[in-house]
Amino acid sequence: MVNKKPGELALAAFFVFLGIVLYISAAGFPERAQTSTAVYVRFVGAGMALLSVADFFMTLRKESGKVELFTNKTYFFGLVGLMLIYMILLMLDVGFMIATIPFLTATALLLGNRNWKIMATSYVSILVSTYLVFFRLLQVPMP
Amino acid sequence: MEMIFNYIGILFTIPNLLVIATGTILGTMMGAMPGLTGTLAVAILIPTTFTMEPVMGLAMMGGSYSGSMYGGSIASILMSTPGTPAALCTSFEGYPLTRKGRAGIALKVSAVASFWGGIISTVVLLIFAPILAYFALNFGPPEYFILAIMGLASIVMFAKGNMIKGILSGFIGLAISLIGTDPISGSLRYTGGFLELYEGLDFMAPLIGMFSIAQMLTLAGEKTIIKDSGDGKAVIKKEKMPKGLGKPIALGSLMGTGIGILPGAGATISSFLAYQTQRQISKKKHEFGNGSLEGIAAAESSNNAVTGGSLIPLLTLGIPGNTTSAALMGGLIIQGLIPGPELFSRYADVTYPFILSLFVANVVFLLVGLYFAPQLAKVSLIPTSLLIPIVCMFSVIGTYAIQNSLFDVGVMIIFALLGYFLSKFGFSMGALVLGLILGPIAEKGFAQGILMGKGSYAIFFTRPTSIVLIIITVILIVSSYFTAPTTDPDKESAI
Repeated sequence: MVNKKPGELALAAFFVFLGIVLYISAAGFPERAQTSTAVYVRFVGAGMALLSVADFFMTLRKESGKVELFTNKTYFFGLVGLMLIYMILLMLDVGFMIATIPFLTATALLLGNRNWKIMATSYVSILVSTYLVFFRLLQVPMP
Repeated sequence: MEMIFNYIGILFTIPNLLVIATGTILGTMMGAMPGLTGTLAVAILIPTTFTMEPVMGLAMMGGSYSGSMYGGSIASILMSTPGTPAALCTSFEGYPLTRKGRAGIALKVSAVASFWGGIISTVVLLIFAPILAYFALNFGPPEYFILAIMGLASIVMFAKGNMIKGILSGFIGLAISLIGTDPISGSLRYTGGFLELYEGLDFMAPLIGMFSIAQMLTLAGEKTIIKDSGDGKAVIKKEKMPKGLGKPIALGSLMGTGIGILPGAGATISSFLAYQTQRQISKKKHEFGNGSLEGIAAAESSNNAVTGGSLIPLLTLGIPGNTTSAALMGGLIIQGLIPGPELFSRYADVTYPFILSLFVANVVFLLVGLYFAPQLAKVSLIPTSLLIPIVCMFSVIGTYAIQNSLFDVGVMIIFALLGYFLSKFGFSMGALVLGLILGPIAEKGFAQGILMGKGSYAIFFTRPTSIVLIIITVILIVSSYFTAPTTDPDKESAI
């Protein structure tokens, strides 16, 4: 459990900054957009900045609550890491099956599954049915 | 009447019925998969209809359209993963029920509500299509802007204990939706030089990231989706269909049909508005956000009612109500049918059997939904260590399939982290996504309205339809504000 207040203040400050940047950036839009979309962008920027300022001061005034950022840090960062590796493998064009089988296995192992029989049966059947139904039959593009 | 029996005779042949069932089941499967929307389902089936008779081909596409709209609710309820954007509201109520072991009843209510939504809108399409088409013509950019604002008014509903943070979440969504090409000048904004962002950020990738992957990150560490009961064993409760859902279903069906008629408005706005309105008038307001069957009934009947509604401007005026009906329009043209008044006279023997086929499609997904609900509910008992990798894999496939882009997969992961942490600090993901979806409609309506009004804002307040919409919007905002449940603002946002 961590204090919620510092995070809330940092986020509010960030969104104030983002709102101001949006507002100012509208001035750089082409002339013909100045009376239409630039007005809309200024409205969004100003609204965001003002609401964030209000949120900042409201957060300052209230007592800090606690927040549990992660139920399990290892699982959280492990899962994010494996998703990134999975995406990189797909970007490297190693093929959907070759990238997916290690991803499914590694994620299941990370999350504590040690039942190899169930893992193998369920993942193979899902992969095969996904390939046959979505890729072969419906011709959905696969990564 | 004799003509109707004639059309029924044309439609009710074994090959036609088999094709409708196939289209509906495939559509349901596609809709259930995050990222694969009804548009994709119809588009994929178009080539298979080239060699079919017009009635058969159109009935197959109509079936997949209806099925995909219903299918979106399945993953929403079971895994908080909206199969389609229109099923987002269903996840707000369906997933909490799954966590309580009540997935079976949530799936049943979704199937029944979707069925009635589809049936009512098809009846309206069958009887009132030509008259209602002219109603859609009264909608110009100013009205679309106000309609988007009306949808954004739902943000107040999501604000819960912290109104400012809720509205701020909506503004964050609006800001993200600015990425891409300026709709008026055509210049690029906030793309960071990424070619993939020139057309803007497709909202499905953020949606899947914030609701599917972020949910999996939260679930990692728990044994099953169902929160353990006292004895540590997760169970699925068996329940009968509850009474009293007629009103939310009727409300959702009528709103969905009405909004579906408006080109560009779509199922997402209609489901949000029906869901919000039902929450306003419900006697069980406290259930909303914690697993309300009324909420599911209103949202699901509404998004399925859009199916029939969106076909009204398509068939009568040749104006597709949404992207899915635009794909359907392609199918019509391929069959040599040009949308317009002739469809109801010269080509009536194709058009009316096609409309009647939507009734069959609704019956098919109702039977499929009710029969498979108990089996599907068992998904919530699968150990998360087995389920999470599969959901992540399907999320990657679905996100990739939207634009054949791994860039979108990266966007999905970024938004998963953003959604996870922002919700920890009390931001509303429902409001953020709503801003993201409605932002482009609001911006385009506003900018075109201003141009129509030659720089004057009066155009938004002087047209009769605009005035009616403004009054409804104000009523929605005020009533939402005063009926918003007072929950702990420090509590992590569920929606």
